[in-house]
Amino acid sequence: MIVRNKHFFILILIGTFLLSCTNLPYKKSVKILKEGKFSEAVQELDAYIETSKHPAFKEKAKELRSQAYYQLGLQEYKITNYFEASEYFFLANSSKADSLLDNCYFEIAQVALDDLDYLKASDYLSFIIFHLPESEKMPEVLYAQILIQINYSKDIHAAYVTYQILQNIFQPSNAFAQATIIVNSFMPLLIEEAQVQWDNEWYAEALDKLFLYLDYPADFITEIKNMIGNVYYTWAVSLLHDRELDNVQTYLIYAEEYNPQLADQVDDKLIELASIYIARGDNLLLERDIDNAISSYQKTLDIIKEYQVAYNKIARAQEFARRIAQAAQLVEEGDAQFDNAEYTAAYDSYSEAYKFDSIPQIYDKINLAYTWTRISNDPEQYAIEIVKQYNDGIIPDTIDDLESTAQNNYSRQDIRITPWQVFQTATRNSYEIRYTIVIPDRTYFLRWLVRLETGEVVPLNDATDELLAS
Amino acid sequence: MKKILFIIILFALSLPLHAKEPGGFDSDAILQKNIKYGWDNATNWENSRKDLQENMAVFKQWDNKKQSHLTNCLKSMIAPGWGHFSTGNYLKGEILLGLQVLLAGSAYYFYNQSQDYYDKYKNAHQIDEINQYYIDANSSYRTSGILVGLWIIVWGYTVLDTIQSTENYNRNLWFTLYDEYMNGKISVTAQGIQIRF
Repeated sequence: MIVRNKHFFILILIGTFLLSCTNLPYKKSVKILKEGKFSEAVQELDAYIETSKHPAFKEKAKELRSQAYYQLGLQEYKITNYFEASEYFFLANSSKADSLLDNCYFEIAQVALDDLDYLKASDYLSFIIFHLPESEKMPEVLYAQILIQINYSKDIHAAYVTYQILQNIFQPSNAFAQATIIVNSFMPLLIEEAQVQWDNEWYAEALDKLFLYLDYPADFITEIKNMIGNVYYTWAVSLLHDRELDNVQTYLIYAEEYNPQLADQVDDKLIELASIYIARGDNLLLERDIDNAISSYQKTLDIIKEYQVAYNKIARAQEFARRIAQAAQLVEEGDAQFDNAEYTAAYDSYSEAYKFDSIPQIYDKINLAYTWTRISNDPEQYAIEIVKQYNDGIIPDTIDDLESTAQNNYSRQDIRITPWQVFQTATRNSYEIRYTIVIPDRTYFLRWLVRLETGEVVPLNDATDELLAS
Repeated sequence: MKKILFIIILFALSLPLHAKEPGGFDSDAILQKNIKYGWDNATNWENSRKDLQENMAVFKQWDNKKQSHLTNCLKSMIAPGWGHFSTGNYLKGEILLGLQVLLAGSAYYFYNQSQDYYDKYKNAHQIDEINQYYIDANSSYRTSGILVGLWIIVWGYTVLDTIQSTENYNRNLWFTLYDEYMNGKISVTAQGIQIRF
């Protein structure tokens, strides 16, 4: 049994040994790291990461490697060896390392700037701007970037964009104050660019620029505001000239708001705008577009408060609308009466409507009602009247001439006249009218067909036709 | 919030900032001098950090949930198969437990048998019986010893295999937690796929 217990003990020992052997390279790396041998630790951890199949410890090893790099960087940083330190901090690739990496890059950039190596300096500064945004050096970095953009790139737009960032995020800083001095030096150039766009009538583009500059004005607030006012005024005048009135008032108000010196000119233009709206309303009223006419008049009230002309015009338009509505109602009544063959009543209704709204359509209805009144009351007399009135009375005039000639040539007893005779035809509302003159050498047997509904007069024989033609 | 605002502004303004620089400033240029781990551009560098941060979040969970090799080995020493059961390796645990119970039971059986033969051997009076009981007692005792030896081997194997079983458990735990973490970042909704950063 003693031997067996001994075997048992050996087995436990072997087991414990094997247990301690799990993840040996990792444990070794950790041990080296704890001993402060950072370079060696990095090598061990690199090797472990390369070969390990344990996913969890592999990731932990990466973190430990980052710590080792950070410590290596810190050692270099302490002796102001910024370039080597930056390489280690970069390889550490952690937020903690970033807090010193930005300092290293900034120092390297400063040296490059001192050596007038702008490209190199900008590379490092750009890295800080775009990849180390939480850097406490950011205001100085942005300022340095502005210096490069001005002195090396000669790009005032890029410098201005950088200045915007500086102002948005780091306004209360010394770097911002210094940058403002630089921006002031090229601000007139930027304003001049807006001026060029204004001159080319690119108003919206010019205003975009100016408003941008207004947000980041450096020391040119008054100049920029005045120019914004002027651009708005010019734009409004241009639109007024082209009769594109929708935005004119707004732009004029803006113009005065940004440049109070334009107050008198703006007032003049507002009055002009109001008069255009009044004229436009009058035209719409003529076109019987009453709603839009009133709307046009009302727009002037937005421009000039208590503008009496507009009130009068609106009242007139409303009265016009009322009369039109009343006429329409009367026409409706007249139509109903007409449909019921009450032609006289219809005629009266149409005539009344015409007093309210004198339009040709109602006039035509009056004529129609009159025609049918005559057709229904005394068609025969109406038929004779049509013939007599035909072509401005050409028929009675011709007959009179004929009779006069006959009386000159013959005695009274030789001439026999049978005046206007009316005969109903087979066609509804059509009548035959006859007029007969008999003289010794000729008989004039004149006949016409009259259609009462249309007022049409048709000669029925050659004699009649010839007589009228002559 | 300030950081987000800053990044947004930087992003919005980055194009004109670069486009207008005649020198073609490139923040990645400085990385070309020091390529390691594939970080030849800032995107790779930042992605690598992001990955590590995510993996460390998983590692933290894993570290809390992982099983100890020592604890599981002690379990297997005390009760054969317990360590395997702890790691979810039930089949192997049952087989090893069954085998050990069988071997221990058999050893005990043969040991009792040998004791019986030995008692009979001591009480026997005939020379043939004495010889036979002696042979039988010895035989049973040897069988019992062999079975004890086998039991010890299986027990030892069980304890040692618990290490590998625990290792496998921990490895699988990592992958499970990693998948859960990544799936937690991506959710499919009626509005579409959302990725949480």
